[in-house]
Amino acid sequence: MMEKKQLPNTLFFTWVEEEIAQSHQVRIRLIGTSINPFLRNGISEVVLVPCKPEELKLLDVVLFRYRGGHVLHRIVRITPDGYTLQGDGVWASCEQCTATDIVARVAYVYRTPQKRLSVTSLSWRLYSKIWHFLRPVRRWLLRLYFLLWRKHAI
Amino acid sequence: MLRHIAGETIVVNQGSSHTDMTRIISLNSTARFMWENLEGNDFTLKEAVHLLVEHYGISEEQACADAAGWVERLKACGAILEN
Repeated sequence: MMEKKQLPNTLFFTWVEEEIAQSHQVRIRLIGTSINPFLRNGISEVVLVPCKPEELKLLDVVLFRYRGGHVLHRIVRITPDGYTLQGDGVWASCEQCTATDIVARVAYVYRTPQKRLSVTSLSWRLYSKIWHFLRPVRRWLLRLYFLLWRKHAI
Repeated sequence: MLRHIAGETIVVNQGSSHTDMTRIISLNSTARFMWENLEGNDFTLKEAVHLLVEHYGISEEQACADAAGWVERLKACGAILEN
């Protein structure tokens, strides 16, 4: 009578943008390994909230439009021209976007659906800072992580 | 809340200030009929079964299985609350 559906990405994110435009908080499940190691592919969820460009800070995780799609990554650099973003599970590539490309910022993360963590909590801020600081050796840490947690990460 | 997207009728858990898009459920015509007739009301499983039997003329046993499945799935996405 009923079945679980995965909407096409374009439709899904059009809907997310509509909800955000109405000042709604939106909870979504994450797909992809570029958000590892803290957040997990197909398991972790985030709550998105509307945001203004002037509120955005370094290391905030945001949903932004990129090359015709939508990406959820962390701000790693802010310049007068825009933002540089990188996924926590990535060590080399970055994306560039402007303030108008940013749809929403993450306010809460659920590593597993039952465990909510605010991005203002000490543990999330510590994780964010330490993981950012470890960027030069992230490549090796991620390789180790994927080896150890292959089952969950892929 | 019921929405129509890309030819699908779906149920999403939506409050006045939040939308949970992690548990979206697609409804077929029967599930939609039940939703449209029971939405916003308190009802018992027996009443849901009666609705199916009346409308589709199926056996009570079949209606009971269908109604129970419908309730379970909608409970899982937070669209139905059990009192």
